[in-house]
Amino acid sequence: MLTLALTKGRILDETLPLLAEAGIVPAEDIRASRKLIFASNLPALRLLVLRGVDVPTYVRYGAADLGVAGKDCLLEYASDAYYEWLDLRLARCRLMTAAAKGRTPITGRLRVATKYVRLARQHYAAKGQQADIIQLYGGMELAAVMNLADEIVDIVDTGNTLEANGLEPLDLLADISSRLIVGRASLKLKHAELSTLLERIEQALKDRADS
Amino acid sequence: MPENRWLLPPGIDELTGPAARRLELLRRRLLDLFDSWGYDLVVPPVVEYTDSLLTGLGAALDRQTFKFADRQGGKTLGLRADMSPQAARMDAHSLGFKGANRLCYCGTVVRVDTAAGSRAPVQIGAELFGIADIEADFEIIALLLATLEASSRRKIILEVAHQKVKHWLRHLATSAQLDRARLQQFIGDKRLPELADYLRTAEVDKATAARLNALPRLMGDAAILPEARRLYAQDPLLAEAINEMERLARHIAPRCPQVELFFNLSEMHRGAYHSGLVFAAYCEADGVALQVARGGRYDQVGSAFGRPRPATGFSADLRTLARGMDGVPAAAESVYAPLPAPAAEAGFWDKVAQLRTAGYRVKPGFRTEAQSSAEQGCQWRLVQGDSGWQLTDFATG
Repeated sequence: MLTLALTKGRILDETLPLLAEAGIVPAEDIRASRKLIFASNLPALRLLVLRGVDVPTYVRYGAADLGVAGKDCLLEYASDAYYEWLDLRLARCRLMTAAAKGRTPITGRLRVATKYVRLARQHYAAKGQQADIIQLYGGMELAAVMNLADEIVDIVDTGNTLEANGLEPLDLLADISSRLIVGRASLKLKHAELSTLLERIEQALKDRADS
Repeated sequence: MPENRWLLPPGIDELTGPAARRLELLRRRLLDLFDSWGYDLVVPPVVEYTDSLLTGLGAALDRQTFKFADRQGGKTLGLRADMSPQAARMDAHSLGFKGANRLCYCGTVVRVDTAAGSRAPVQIGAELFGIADIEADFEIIALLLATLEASSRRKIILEVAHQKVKHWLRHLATSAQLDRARLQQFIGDKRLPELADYLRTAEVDKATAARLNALPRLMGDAAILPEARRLYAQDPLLAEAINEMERLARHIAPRCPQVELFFNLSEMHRGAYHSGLVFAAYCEADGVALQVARGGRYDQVGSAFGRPRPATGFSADLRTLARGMDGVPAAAESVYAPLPAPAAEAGFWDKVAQLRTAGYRVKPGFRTEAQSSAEQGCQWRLVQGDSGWQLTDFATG
């Protein structure tokens, strides 16, 4: 039995069609159910639906054999316990810093709100900028609007949310898309089954690129 | 917070009952196995100067080591995070053997990081020093497989890789002016799209890019080796690595049919000190895929102690090995022996000693206990009968 961990939300919405093109279909409508584990049309494959940040953890500890996770999570919670096998080219966005439009330049220590603590630390250290990182779990723009932070580090898709809150994007930290990760131990113990599944998904991606 | 005094630090565990018994039985079984293969037990110290504990082993072990100042002399001490280099030091310096030296060890190591699970694994391992020939690698791998069999492992996958692939990458990165660290990371983590993008951006020639892009996908049973040989025929370092892998397949496959060999040409996650064939064993425990042991050749570690010696070995976490063991051999039968009144003690203690010698577990019940906890799990009761002290069925007697 193989276990594929999926990230709920926008990534799930974009992953399900790709899986369907690879001939992998949940046995019931995932979005209409409150269940977290789903059978699939393949007898030896089940699907988990998790928060994105939890997918690498499930794969790392072997509770899932493979998973779909955003590159932002993989960068923040780096681990050598899985392979980053495919770029699914889904849920594309950018990880950026942002600040209030027209703000006066900050001298001295910067206050930065983000849920990407490790990446933010690395980024400001690389810029030579002293920064206090304030960890938040959502609604990052508000931190800048309410003067809790001078800058934020967050995912930017269209930029509309920033715009609506009077913020502007600044530095690009990374281009983000969803990746298919495979557990290091699983790839060895279940190599034949995983290879077949990976080939199906890879082929579906190629077909998309060719069409 | 006195109510929390029982709390253990993260990653630190204690074992009781069947789990403790399983661990200890496995420890004895494996040390007996190593002994029967001619491996001498060594007991390295728990604490050493970091100068010797971490010499020549790279940054990874350094980060994993708890360090503190010695109040006697002010030098920095470290708690051992890995016993294998300690065995190398003992071989190079303390023992001074010239030919083959076979050592084994078992003890708790302590690590800073909780990400890998337990911070205090019970490390058990065997090391073979003094032999550069691949026959030594075969012996160590065969011993590892015997270790896993003794741990009741049915399905064993042995991943085999070679450090010469890493050396080849280093040379290639230098000659093609590529970023070695990135190249190694993309290939080692099998980041196929990023590797392809990087090679494209760096304008690597088509033939080299094809060879590099193929590397992470070259994994599987021995059938992948001819393809690897064809792809890397022009690269002597890789050809040597593939040759050794093929020899290993020919040697191990017929002798250990219970093992599935898994060759992985792009394994990059080994210490800088590894130098030849490296391997890792994977098994399933409670439905979860686990790496249960790892090892490989490391020929240069001894030189840090003044005597370079070829070396290969493996180690495993005894707790992980015990986790997947089938059941626990039953404990010896237990006897509940309520202490008689002092006036009636004649012959009681002689009988207790006799029963213990005969292999029974004898648990005295104290006179002050209204209901003795010693009664738990007993099959027999020691009672005074007509013909002296004798056993009766606990339930009926």
